[in-house]
Amino acid sequence: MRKMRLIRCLAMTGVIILLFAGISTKAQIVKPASWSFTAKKVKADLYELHMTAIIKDGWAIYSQLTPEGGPERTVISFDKNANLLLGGKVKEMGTMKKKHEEVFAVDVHYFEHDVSFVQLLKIKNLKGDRTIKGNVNYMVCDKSQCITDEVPFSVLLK
Amino acid sequence: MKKYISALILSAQFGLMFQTIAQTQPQFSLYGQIDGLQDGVKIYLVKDKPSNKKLLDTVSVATSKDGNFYFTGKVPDGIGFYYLQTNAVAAMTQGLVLVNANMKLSGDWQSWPMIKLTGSDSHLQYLEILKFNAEMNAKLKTENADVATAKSRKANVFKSYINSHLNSLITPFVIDQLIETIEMPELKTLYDALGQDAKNASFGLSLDKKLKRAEKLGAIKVGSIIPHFNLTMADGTIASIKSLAAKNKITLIDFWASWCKPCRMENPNLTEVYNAYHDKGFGILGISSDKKAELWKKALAEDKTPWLHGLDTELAGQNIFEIKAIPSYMMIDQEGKILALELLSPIKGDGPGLRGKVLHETVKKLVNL
Repeated sequence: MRKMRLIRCLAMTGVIILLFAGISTKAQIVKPASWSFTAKKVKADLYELHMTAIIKDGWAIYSQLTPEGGPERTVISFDKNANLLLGGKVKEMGTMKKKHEEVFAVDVHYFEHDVSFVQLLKIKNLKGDRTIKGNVNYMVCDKSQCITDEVPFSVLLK
Repeated sequence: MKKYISALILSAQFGLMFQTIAQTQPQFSLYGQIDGLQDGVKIYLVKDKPSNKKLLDTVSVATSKDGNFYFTGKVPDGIGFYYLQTNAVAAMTQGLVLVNANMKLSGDWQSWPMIKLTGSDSHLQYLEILKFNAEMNAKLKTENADVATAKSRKANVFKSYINSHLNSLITPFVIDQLIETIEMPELKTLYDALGQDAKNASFGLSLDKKLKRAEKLGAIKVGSIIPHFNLTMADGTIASIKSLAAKNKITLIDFWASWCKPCRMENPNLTEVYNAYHDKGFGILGISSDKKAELWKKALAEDKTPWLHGLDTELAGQNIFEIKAIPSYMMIDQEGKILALELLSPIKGDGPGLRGKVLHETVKKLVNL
């Protein structure tokens, strides 16, 4: 008979164990921004979804307020969930900088180092579906290149 | 009345038949028996989305009763990584490898999520692989092996595991882990040797997709002909890449967009090279990934660059070349043969340089060939 095997787990959400993590030597595409998604409880039926980007030095991502004609704005979209109400627009928490760019002839609104996009969410039925899903579409640039990317998220409000 | 009864009997027979059919469909059951688990705890069964490993999809929810909970359903394509989550305690990080079989989870609520899964051979094989891996890592660490040695020794251990488990549904997952470590022809050989069941299960299917993509990207290299695609030109006409290439002896393709400052800052340098060598057969083709044509046209009017411009309405940059960042460049000749690549994509850069001041030297050499 097989001995009982126990699975030791860490306090994080699921990640497949990578057998070659850390020793792969093939070239990797740069990832200047990394995103995390967390739900913060305000009241029993009220939550804040924090969508946080950590940005590498020398890179910037762009505010939702950047005028058209400039760099692509960060756009956050939510999948429909009839049990959740969106409270207002997505707020931006971070140090927003403004700079007039000749090349675009607009004032570019951007963030460096880190920024949190925050959406207030109200749960209609506490026993119903409490999962908020969606996508962040954003652009990140440094002096020599721009990367557009899409990050899907799925967060349980608990 | 008689008719009515026979209809009833008929529908009852049909009902029975459907039930039998339903039972022969591959299904899983997952029965949990956890000591000390209170009643009314909601347990979520979540599954990895193959497209994004960070995202989990809730498959089913069970509520505990008398220390037990029960899930049933179908594992799509026969195998997958699943996790159990509850609102109360730490989430599981190491996957449960579920298959369409009767499986059982047992353990103690105190030590959750450390629980034992039986009934899935693939799960036991997965644990075995992880154990191998941990032992190997420890050994290599004590031996102070360098990266190259560690890589090849681990690859060899897993290759022999793969070759001795060709029919296991988990084996394509192991090959998948080697993608970044060993080269394409060998990966293909490992995949080809797999049993049909392993190829047809979800890990086999996703591995096949990845290998096909790698083959497709591998075919885009210096010396090969650029794949076919069309662009929408400023006047609204559609032009093929071959017809655009034919206009000049050599053409620099500039993947850009109106919103990309570094792309547009490169225009003075491109203009200089263009003006110096256009008479000798050097052309530039701007391929814009702008989604809004009016922003593209506005940028063209502002920058007044004298070369060819097309809008990437077929998303060739994204779908064929898998460009992740712009500006990205490639050089082709009149027949569409690739002369140099400098794409910010999984496609390897190859040939002479195409960025900044180096471009002058490259163009000078190529137009005189």
